[in-house]
Amino acid sequence: MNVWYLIFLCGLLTFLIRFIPMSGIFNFQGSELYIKVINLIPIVVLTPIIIQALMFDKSATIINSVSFEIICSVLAVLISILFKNVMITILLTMMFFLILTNIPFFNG
Amino acid sequence: METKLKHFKSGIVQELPLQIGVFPFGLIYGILAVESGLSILQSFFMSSIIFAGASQIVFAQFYLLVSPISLITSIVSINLRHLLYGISINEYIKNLSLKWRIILSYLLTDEAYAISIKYFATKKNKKFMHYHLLGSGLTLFLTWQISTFFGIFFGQFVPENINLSFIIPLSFIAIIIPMIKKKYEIFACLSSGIFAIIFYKLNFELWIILSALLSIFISIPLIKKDIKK
Repeated sequence: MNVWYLIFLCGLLTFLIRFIPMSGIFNFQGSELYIKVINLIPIVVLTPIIIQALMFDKSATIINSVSFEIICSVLAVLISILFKNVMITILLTMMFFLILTNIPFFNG
Repeated sequence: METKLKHFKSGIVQELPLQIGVFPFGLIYGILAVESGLSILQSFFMSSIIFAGASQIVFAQFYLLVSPISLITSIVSINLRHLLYGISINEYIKNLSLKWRIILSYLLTDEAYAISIKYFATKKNKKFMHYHLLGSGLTLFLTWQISTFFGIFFGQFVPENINLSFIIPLSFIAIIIPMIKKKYEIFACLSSGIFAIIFYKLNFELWIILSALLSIFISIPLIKKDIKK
């Protein structure tokens, strides 16, 4: 198949997956249970993405040692509980992460 | 007008920190796409036609190795999580026109969703709130196009030891932790993490949607208990 056709087809399918639930065709009447389930979606979808980034290497093997990323993630959890602010959490944690990864003492 | 602009600007400002992590990802895609044999035009325009990072990388890696059907199936599987994003966003855009729904669904990516759904959930006045998703989505779109361009044309000059990708999971932590307040939310978060580890070996990111659906399913009794309180 021509590569351009393939690109357009994949683009169309990607768009449809995003569009169909937002199209208004399926407008569920929200019971309390439905609304609470919907509100869980960001938590249950983003957590696996976080776990994948922290716990697995590029060859899909689980990382056995405690990495700087895991240490900083624990710190990020604490900072975000404390400040409840995305920007502060990112800035403080990234500062700590850059210190850890760039100081030779911590890198053996 | 002022409110629209305020939401739009908030979307841009809140999305900006995540671009530090998105930019290297776009660079990697650009480098990989050209190396895989795609033409410069195909590599560049794929970023606006498909506009989905992981799918584009899979496309570039496998389009010569597998059949078109396998490639299409893989890309659909990778993007299935967007169904859940769409269902969730739909709750906040019920009064919007078809034109708006088309624009917003095109711009719906992991990073734009994560930033905007948090904003939507915390604002009581829902009017014009979709401008926030427009702002966050457009910011990511522009970064993605620019980083793809740099990856295609200047990829060979990029040092290999840059590690800014950590900022993406970090941003997601900063977004979801303040959302978790109830017992069933803690349970759903932990169980989706455990399921992610169990199912990670599944191909084409199916583990994301499977982990999400299973953790929602097993959290339902706790949610019902919370409602009865």
